[in-house]
Amino acid sequence: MVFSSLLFLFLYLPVVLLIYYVTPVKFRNAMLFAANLVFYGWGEPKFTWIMIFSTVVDYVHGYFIGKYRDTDRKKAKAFVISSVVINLTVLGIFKYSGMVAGTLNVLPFLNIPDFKIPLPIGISFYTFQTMSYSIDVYRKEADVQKNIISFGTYVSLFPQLIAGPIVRYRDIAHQLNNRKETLDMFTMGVKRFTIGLAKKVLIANYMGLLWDTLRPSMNTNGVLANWVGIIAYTFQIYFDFSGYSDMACGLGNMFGFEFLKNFDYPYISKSITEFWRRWHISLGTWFRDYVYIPLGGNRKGIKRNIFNIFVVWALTGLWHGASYNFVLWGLYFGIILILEKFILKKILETLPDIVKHIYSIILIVFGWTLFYFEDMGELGRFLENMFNFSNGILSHEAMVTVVGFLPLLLVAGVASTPLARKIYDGKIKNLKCCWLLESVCAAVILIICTAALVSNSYNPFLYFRF
Amino acid sequence: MPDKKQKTQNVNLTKNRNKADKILYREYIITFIFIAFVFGMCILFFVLPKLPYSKNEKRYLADAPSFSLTTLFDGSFTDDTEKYITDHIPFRDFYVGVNSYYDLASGRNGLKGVYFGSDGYLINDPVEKDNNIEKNVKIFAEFIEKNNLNATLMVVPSTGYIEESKLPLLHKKYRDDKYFGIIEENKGNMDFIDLRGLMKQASSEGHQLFYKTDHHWTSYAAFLAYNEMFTRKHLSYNQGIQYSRETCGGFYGTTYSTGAFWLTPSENIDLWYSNGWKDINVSITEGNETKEYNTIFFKEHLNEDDKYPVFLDGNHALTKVKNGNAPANTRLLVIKDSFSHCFVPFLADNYSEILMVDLRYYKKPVSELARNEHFGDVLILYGLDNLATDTDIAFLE
Repeated sequence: MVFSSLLFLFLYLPVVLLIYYVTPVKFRNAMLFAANLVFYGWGEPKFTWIMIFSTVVDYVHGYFIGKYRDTDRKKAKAFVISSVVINLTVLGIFKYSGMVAGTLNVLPFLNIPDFKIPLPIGISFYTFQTMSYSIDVYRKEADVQKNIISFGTYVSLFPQLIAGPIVRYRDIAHQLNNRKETLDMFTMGVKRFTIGLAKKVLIANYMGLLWDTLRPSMNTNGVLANWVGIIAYTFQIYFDFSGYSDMACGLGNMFGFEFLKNFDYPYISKSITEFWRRWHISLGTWFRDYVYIPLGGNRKGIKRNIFNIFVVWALTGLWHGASYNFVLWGLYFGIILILEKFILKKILETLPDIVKHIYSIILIVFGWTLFYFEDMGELGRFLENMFNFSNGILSHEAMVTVVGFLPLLLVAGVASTPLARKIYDGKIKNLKCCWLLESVCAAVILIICTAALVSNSYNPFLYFRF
Repeated sequence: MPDKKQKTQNVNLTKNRNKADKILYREYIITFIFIAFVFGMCILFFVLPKLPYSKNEKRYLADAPSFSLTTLFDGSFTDDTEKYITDHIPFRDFYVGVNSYYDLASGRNGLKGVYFGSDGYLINDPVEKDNNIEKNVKIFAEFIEKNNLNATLMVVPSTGYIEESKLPLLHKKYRDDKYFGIIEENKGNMDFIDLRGLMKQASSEGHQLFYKTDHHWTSYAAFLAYNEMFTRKHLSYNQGIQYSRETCGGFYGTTYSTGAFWLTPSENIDLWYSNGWKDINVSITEGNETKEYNTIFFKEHLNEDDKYPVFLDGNHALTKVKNGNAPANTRLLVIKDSFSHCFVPFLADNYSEILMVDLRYYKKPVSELARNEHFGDVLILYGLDNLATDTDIAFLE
């Protein structure tokens, strides 16, 4: 189930909210756990078992790690390793086995038949969460969760289940058993959810439509239209993902949870290093805490540091999808980050801000090109069409499309910066009629978003020639 | 007894607290709106009666999902539930309209495939560049040559091409000139009547040639085309033909349904009656069943949502029109789409028997039909968009 659907908005959410708030406090985790399973199992009931399996395995491991962590570090360590291995094995089987088989088939004597295991949604998110639990307990950064229902609620918490943010156990441990739902928090949640919904439905979906309209005719569009296309994709992926995170945080608030923010205006970055501090923060934090620093980070000399960065970025790339273009995409950023760290940093510092912004955004956009095209041949064709002026600058058809979306492209551009937030914090928040403005905006957004969602299903079946 | 000063202070405090309470209360209105909206839609979804059929989409809406362990585990229950919710969401048409006007207002005219033009015109965007027009014309040319028939080909240009001034400034190109060139090149033995000049001229004189909310041409445009054919083919006729017109209101057509600009006003359909019609007999064949009528106009359809079938009862595999008053033994076979439905009534003054074949529904060999019923003259009449997108012509034998 996704948040930006009529099913979620007008059936699942009201029913779950209602039941949650009439349930006595001590049963709320159990109720939420059940609701999470319905949410997760909606599309593919059978994958629920994998999540339950993960939950039980890590609950048991956590228990033993907690038991031995003060008395027998070796045993505790063995359990952590066992937990990580099991989690990665589950992830490996369901996400990467197809890719591995495809790669092995390069060897002439092997002939593994083509197979495809469907990817259980959210598996990359919740396996990372459960691993964080075992490791946090081992490091004594979190206490053992004795209640399996509470633990299950954490693993399967529906707001962040399928698209993050990746909530580390220690960040939420206290809230699991001691959260207090308040009207203020709920109201905050409503605002964040509504903004997230608008980002997803009114910007990301339309940007996706623009990209999908322009991309098939990349040979005839002209150079400019292809640039607009990839910029539209750049907007789509940001507003889609950050909109989803906003909705997740907002929903969390409605049920009394507080998640850490996942995006911080990444496209205003002045370097790629900064970009990765602002983009998908929970994933970056995860890799920093559980891979980069354990590997030694930057404390073991330059060579080891470079190696560590490469490892982290190859894994970050691979995490995004089981295809080599994602590895390439990760390494692309790994290389830029190393260059920035050891060479470019000093040069960048001397440059005016505008140059730094342009430098960053161009590298980011190229990054998304690598990210989008899983087929290397198509990637090559697209890159060629981004610079091949022999197909013109902007065809008439592409121009009609681009001009139609121009207002929205501008909105997306402005919405990628903290400008609106600044105006809100500086002016609007202090206005007497702020509540009125907010309420009207929320109502309008809800109606227009619903309209867009309903419209997707509007299929006039007209014999064109009555 | 508290002194006066303290009392005032107390009052002020209460006042301030009241004010603070008020502000706090206002802050939650947004939450109230959210809850009311989400819960309201949910409750209405369960409470409101469900329509089985969507008038605007002209399709049956999803049935309620059936729950069983089988449907749950094969995924059909969840799929069906989603379809059911989207099809029966309260105020569905309202939302679709809001979306159309939202797109329009934010610059994306034509996103649903229909341009919101001036003067209330809702105009289909041009057909895809990649289409069947050349293939279809060649099939007709071959068919005509092979069966040694005497054929006239008439293609109605697209609304956007003729009424370009009604379109938004920026729109996709209507390539009618190119397509008419292709038709000219591939027409073979057929006599091709090119209506472009005639219709552009009439449009510039202010005549309404196309419906504003529908993709069809008006009876007036059909009359112009009929006159052109009449002179060009030297059709035989009875002297003194005159028409009387009946105007019927409340018409909404296909581009209205597709574009979902619900605020567009309805328009009129004109029915042109000829005084040359006597003993009219219309027989309609669908499958093995033939029904007979004595009218050109099927006015019971004017009370329905879909009014266009007022002309010859809409689409059927075979429609035969006989006029007892037309010159005897004049017969015409019409291979057509729905653009012919308001055109053939004019021809009824010149032909005592007209047989209309719709290739989308008539699946037997047309050559046999022509041979068995002794048709020598053929009219092929299509709207350009239909001719370009049709996939049934390929099966013409």
